[in-house]
Amino acid sequence: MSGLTRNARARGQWAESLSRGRFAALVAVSLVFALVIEEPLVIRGAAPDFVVIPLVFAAIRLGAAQGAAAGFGLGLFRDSLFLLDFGLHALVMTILGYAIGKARETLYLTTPGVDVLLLAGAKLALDVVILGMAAEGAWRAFEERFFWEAVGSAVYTALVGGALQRLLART
Amino acid sequence: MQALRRARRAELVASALVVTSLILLALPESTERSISRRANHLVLLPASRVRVVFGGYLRLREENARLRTELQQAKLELDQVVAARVQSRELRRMLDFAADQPVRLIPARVIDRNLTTLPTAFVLDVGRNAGVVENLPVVTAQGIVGKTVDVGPETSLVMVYAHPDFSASALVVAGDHLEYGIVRPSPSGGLRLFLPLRSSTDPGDRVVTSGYGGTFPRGVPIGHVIEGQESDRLGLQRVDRLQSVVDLGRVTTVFVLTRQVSAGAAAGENLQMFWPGYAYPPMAGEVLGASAVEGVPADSGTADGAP
Repeated sequence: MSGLTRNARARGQWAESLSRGRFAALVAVSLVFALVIEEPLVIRGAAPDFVVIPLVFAAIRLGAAQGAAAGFGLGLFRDSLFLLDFGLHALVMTILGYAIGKARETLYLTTPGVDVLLLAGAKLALDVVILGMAAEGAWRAFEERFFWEAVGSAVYTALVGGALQRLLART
Repeated sequence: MQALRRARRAELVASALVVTSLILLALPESTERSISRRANHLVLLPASRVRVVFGGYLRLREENARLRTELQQAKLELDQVVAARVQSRELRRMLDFAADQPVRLIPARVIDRNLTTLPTAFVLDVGRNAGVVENLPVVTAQGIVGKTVDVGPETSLVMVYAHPDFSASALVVAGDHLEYGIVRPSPSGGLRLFLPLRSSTDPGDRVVTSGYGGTFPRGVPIGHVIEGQESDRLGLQRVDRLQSVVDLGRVTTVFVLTRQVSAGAAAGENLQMFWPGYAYPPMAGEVLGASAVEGVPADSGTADGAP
């Protein structure tokens, strides 16, 4: 464990404390999960977002610029899974990556609880934009999906991300 | 200064990527779709193999769990079918048996039994309302089970032959002659036949109720002789070990015989039961009459008591 990593762990910055290999493994596993087990995990329309999880953790670990780049890459990955509005996820996730990285840099938010809140907030913001665009003016449908799917998915994502975080912080 | 430069760099990178995303979004639909499809193939095709493997594994697990549940259900159903078949066979045998008897047989189910290694009492689901009274013989199609000792309106308590207080007047069917004695349970859970000292029996000789005891009619199978011993510890009696015909652990349905025999009556006056496959030699060699009854032991709990 390097000195920087050790210091980060001592300050409770678990994402920064992860080794590069372990962080890459987290991203890879999350993407595989996004492809494979997101669907079976759906509960009443709510599902954990395994693309938002690495985005938030990457932005926290790498900062605003690389957070934005990660958001763009992960957004394109998400866009490639949908055959509609190519670039929309990339746009929103770029902004989210930048904003989370910036928040981490300027507000010195380092506790794991804040990371979980950022996860929930990022997923909620992403869903608001995506659902809003998909609704195309049908606001009643948007409302229903927002309350049934977006809020539940945000909580679900935060819980799964928090569990992953604890798992990785312990090992 | 360096922090400012880093912040500006981040803004530049983010802006460039936002603009790129907007350009992607603004592309004509056909181009957008073409890029989307190409990216889709690029990401999904390599991933599809992983998805198929993992998805298949997950499906297999689900299917495995479902099949396990179905297998358990099927096993339970099979057990029920087997139990029903066994019960049906038992009931049919009892029905055939009941049809040939000269007495009224009250069919009953064993609804409870005392929880010891060897049952000594059964509870039946018939009582006074069905015509059951105390001291009636309880039998199966195989032979003797016990007798009723306590009767309620809907249930009856049966003292089975393994009960320490049980005794029955018995008759040994030994080839060319008959021997009278009394059957009692042994402390080890088997049955013992007490006979006069000069009696002779051989292993395999069948033992039935004599009909003299006052409870059981004549001819109810009790068991067969396993081993004969010369005498008990005082040397006054001969004691044989018996193998009972009824396995109490397997008894689920029984008959209560409603017609009682009179205590101390001669064999000819007593009712004789006919057990299928258990016909013993005719009573030709038997001396009937009061003299023959003298000294013949009675069934437990009857007026003349056990010897």
